[in-house]
Amino acid sequence: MKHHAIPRIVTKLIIPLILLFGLYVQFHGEYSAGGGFQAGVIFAAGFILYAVIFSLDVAKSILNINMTKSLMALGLLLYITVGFVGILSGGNFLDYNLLSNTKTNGQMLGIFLVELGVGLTVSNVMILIFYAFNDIGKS
Amino acid sequence: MSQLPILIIALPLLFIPLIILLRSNQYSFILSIIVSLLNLALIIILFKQVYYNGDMFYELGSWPAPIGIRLNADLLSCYFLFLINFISLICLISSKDLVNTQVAKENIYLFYTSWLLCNIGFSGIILTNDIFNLFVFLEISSLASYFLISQGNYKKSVLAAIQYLFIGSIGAVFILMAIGILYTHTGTLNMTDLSEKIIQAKPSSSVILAIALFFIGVAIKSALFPLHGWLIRTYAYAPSIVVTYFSGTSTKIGIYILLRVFLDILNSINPFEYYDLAQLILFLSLFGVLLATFVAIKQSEIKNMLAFSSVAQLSYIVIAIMLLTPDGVTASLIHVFNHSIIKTGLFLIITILFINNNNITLDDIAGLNSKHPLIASSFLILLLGLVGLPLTSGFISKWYLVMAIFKSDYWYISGVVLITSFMTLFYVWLLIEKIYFSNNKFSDGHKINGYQYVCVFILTGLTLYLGIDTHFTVGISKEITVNTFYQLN
Repeated sequence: MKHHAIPRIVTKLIIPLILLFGLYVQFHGEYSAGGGFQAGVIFAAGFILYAVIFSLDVAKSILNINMTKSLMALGLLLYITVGFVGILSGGNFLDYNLLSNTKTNGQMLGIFLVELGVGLTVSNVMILIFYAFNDIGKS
Repeated sequence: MSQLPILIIALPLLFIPLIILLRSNQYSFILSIIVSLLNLALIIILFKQVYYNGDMFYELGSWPAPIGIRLNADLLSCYFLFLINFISLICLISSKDLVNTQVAKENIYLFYTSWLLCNIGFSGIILTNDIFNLFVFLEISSLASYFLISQGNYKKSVLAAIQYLFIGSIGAVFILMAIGILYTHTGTLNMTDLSEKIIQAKPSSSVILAIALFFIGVAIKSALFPLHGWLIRTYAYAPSIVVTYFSGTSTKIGIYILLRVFLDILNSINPFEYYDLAQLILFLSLFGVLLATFVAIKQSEIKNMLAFSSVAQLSYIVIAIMLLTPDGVTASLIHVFNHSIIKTGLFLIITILFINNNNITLDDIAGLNSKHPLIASSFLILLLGLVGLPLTSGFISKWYLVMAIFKSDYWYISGVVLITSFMTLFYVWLLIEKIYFSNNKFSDGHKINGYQYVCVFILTGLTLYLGIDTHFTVGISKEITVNTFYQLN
């Protein structure tokens, strides 16, 4: 895509917007339509667009496969940790009420952290699937 | 103590990210053994609690039951949980050398991750009290198992995994549609709630459709007779330790869903009464036993032979359930446990003897007795258990099965069951003859490590022990039947 100026410039312009929209969906999941799954996919879509336009090698130099796998695992770890914090503070698994001083704050914090974990895992799984399809036929 | 049900699901889930983060083949093996041991210990404590203090509920996030998601541990759950996690642990312990030779090096840690995920799926299916969660956990275990199957060292392994993916997805979609229909009729997904509200929903044609869809989905998952094709292909091409694991677990999960959904949740509307469904399934299974036994006799590949034998034994279990009597359900529960132990043992021996997992024909096993006499005698005991000779656990389950059939309306099919039991002897004899009376030399020369010996001996010992002391299997099964399915009121 080196000689295609228009796709490169347009991509550079819209990638920040895609990522911003992803973050918006991520952080407003508890009020409006959205949440970790959707945000993760949107976020990954921005990254995949970058990889398509600016070559896979550049994309992999930013986020290599092992890094992606680790981030994927960290998302799950975050989710499970929130669950276990509920147990450790005397409630049940994923009991958000006990996460903060008031119930409302606890619910907000709980949903936020869990959705963050989901978003992290989903976006990295999407990128991993993209990488995996690129590796088909290479080996 | 009250956290036990969730820990059985969440503890392995805590270890999975650690395994992926460490990305080490050595540690992934050790960590999965540790977490399986912990899990089995937790399950034994849970089993004791439930046995002495009654059912145990757990509300996720402290949300009350019909709205929130609830886990429910009753005796039936604990019985299946113990069986599945025990077999998983046994297979994991003996898996090390096998995984190193059969699975690609860079995928080994992902292999163990998927193994744990698959086991979480099974545990979740068993523990959940939410019918949609049952579907979700079913998908978790299925997706993980597609990966496990695709890791075989055959060229066709990936193909077998994809075929299983298609068939398994169709089954899952059927189950999802059935859950959707049940939800529109009752407005609830909680199993306890659903079983009360389904009575008020008139037995309309859509409820019957839901019953049919659910049954077909479960039948695909548990490889009941006309839908058993994927099982044969999968068992032929998956890594052999995965076959060993699945032979004792994945089809039994189907049986669990069958029992839980049809005889517990939907029992109030007698789901098998419509269109004589019970009779239809009963005779299909009877035909399945006959056919699978015939085909098993003609197989020259040992894993195929054992796979067809599994189909036949599963049909016995379904026959016992479809009698729709308390004795029948008890017999099916006993046979689930005993058959899992025996079949896992048989597959485990084949697996550890032939580390390369190539086509293992009857001639390959010839002369086993002179090379590994202890393994050969274990194999003999397990085979006799499969036939159902006295002093093995197979005898106990066959005995209860035949007695249940005699006491039911279908007493005339007991002849077929006895004849097919006898026919089992034919293919078992083919194996015994090769092992003990062949002049060929056993060719495969690799060493079997001590852990694998111990695992085989545990399973063989259990086969003998459960054939003599039936307090565990028969006692628990009778109690489950009384508590869950046929309440004495």
